[in-house]
Amino acid sequence: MSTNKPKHIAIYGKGGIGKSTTTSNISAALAEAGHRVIQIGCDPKSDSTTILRGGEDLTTVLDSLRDSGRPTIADVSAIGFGGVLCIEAGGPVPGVGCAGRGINAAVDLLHELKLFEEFKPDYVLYDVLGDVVCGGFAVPIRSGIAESAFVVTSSDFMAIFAANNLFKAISKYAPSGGARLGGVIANSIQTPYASALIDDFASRTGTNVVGYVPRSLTVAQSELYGQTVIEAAPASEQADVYRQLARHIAGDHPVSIPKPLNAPALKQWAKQWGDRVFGGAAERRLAEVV
Amino acid sequence: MEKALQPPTRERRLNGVSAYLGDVASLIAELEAGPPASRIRTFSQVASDDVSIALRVLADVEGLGIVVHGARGCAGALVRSRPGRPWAVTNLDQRDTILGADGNLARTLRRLHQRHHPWGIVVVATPVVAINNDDIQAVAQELSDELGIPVVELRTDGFRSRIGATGYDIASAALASLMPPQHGRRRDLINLLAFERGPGLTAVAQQLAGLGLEVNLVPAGAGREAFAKAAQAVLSVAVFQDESDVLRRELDRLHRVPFLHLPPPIGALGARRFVEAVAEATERPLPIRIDDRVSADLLEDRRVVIALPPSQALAIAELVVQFGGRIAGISVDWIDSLHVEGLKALTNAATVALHVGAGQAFELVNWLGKIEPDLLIGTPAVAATATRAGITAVAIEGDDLLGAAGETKLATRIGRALAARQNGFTAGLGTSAYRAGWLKRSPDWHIKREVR
Repeated sequence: MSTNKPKHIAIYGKGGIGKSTTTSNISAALAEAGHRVIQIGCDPKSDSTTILRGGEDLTTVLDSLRDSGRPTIADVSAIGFGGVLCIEAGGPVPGVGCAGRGINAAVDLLHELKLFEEFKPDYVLYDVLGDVVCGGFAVPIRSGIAESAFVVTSSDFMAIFAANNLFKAISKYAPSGGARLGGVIANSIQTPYASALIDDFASRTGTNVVGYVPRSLTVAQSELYGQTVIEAAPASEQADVYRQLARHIAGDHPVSIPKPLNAPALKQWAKQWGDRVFGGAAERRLAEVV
Repeated sequence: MEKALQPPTRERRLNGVSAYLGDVASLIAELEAGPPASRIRTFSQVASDDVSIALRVLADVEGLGIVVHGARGCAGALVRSRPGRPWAVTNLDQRDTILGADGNLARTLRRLHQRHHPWGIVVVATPVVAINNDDIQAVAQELSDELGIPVVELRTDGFRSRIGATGYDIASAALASLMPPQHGRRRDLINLLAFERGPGLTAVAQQLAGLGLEVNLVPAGAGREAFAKAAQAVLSVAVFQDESDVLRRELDRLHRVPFLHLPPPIGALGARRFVEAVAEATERPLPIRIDDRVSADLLEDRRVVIALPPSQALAIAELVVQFGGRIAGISVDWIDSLHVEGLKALTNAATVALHVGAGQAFELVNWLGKIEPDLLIGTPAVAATATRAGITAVAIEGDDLLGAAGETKLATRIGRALAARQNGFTAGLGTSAYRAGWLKRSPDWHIKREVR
């Protein structure tokens, strides 16, 4: 049982970018290395910890609040792969209520229930829904809950756009005690230019890329079994990629306050990359059509 | 029945202004040039917002149930309503905000109905609903079918508009949907639209009744029967048509009841014009002329500031001139395009100072200090503020001013105030809570133009 102060880390990224897969594999790698880990899914979809639990159902904090009013830790958690304590904040029925406020209430409740004092984790990973859609989703990076945040992005422009928005939130809260940026995790690396594009974005926003996760069939196959790569294919190269990421996150990694690009600068940057990748062909085709 | 529409805010619908300091002529020019600059000002806890005004309007409707769907504090404006008034608050908490509170609302509606048997219920949305987006309309429809009475939604959130008068509009839209369609038109029935009931309104209604008309007073003090008759009226008139703007539009849109635009029936001349116009529109014989005018030299060229709701202030301006006074300034909570003609009617618009701001007592004291009027005519709250600042003040409210008697009432109060001042009555004067340094500031230092 750990006696150290737990390290709280938030992992953000656009929806569908592989954020939960990355977070769960990092949790699994940390657990495999002998650490006590809590993973808290902060997404109304409640699927953050699925591959740590073999796809089993888990009552979310908000479902439990709705049904019983006063849940215990046991009601809203499950032990997953390697002893990772899995929790899902959950959310209201789609189209009703306020999911952002729900994240806020769920995190408050976990503190009230003395989750961290009871479980004594080494690491707490918050897997937070895509973009910072409202103040509620920024809770893990506000008020000193997480010390650092990592942003998962691919080379798709919308993922970069979401990452830039997250940088805005981090740069807003960091000076008043909010989380600082631990770095960018480049995910779904498949095309020849993807790494260079993400490197360039990181460089222009005053941050750095802490890991490159290639797009891999191993990930897809593992998820079909409801498992992380660490569990399903522990000897694979992909598993080593996640282990390396976990070591970086577990270590004393440098943190910074990012310098997000403003909207025109981001568009201009994207256009330059469009020209670089396609040689201006796309623009010429568009001009011909017009 | 055609659905009532959600009216846009006063700012969007009528170019409403809630913060302004300057002269009347400049604001007229600004309003005529298009949407005025968006100005923001210090928040005031004493100013009414659209939720509180909407609640006050509803609380004056006889036998109507009110459910405030929000935190208990949102129902604060109802606390002073008459005993026995059927209202309830859903008392939403954090859990309701996160998970939605449709069930809570349905339970509250059933309990209110069980206990009070109202003839209709209005569900008032609040800032909480603006966050959790409860589907009030669906619940209202379901409970309306279940309880067999109309249950309607009043969607207000307290922060879309900076003008409290938006509350009249939103309440009006909800109330209009409680006025059922009727077959046939009654040539002897008119709607008199008013949001405050008192002796003044009763006097106006009696004068109209003297034309041989049945006067249907809505919505203040009205009950189920008055609401049921509204769609049969041959026309509608309003005592203060800036407040009643949406109600008269909805009566026209939903039931084809036309509206007769008239200045408020304030003073003998105003009341006579009002009654004569209704007589002409309903093809009735003219009433006997009433002459209740006060001598013209009452104010003896004194400089007067008027601080009342806009349509009242503009109507009083005419009386002040009639009494031999000069308009030095006007202070109103808001102003919009409905008031442009009234502002233009002021003879010396370029020299009349204009202050627009609700609940800004410190600003008002500062502004009055710069103008140094001989007399202020205002609401009781403003008159008290002015008196503490050493300015002779007359307190008067909307209903006091209505009808020919309103002119006499105002003249009597002005006479008393001036006499008291002349006789050295200074109780409470000069005890301003503001330090001299504060009062030296420009009164508009806190009014900012919104940065877009």
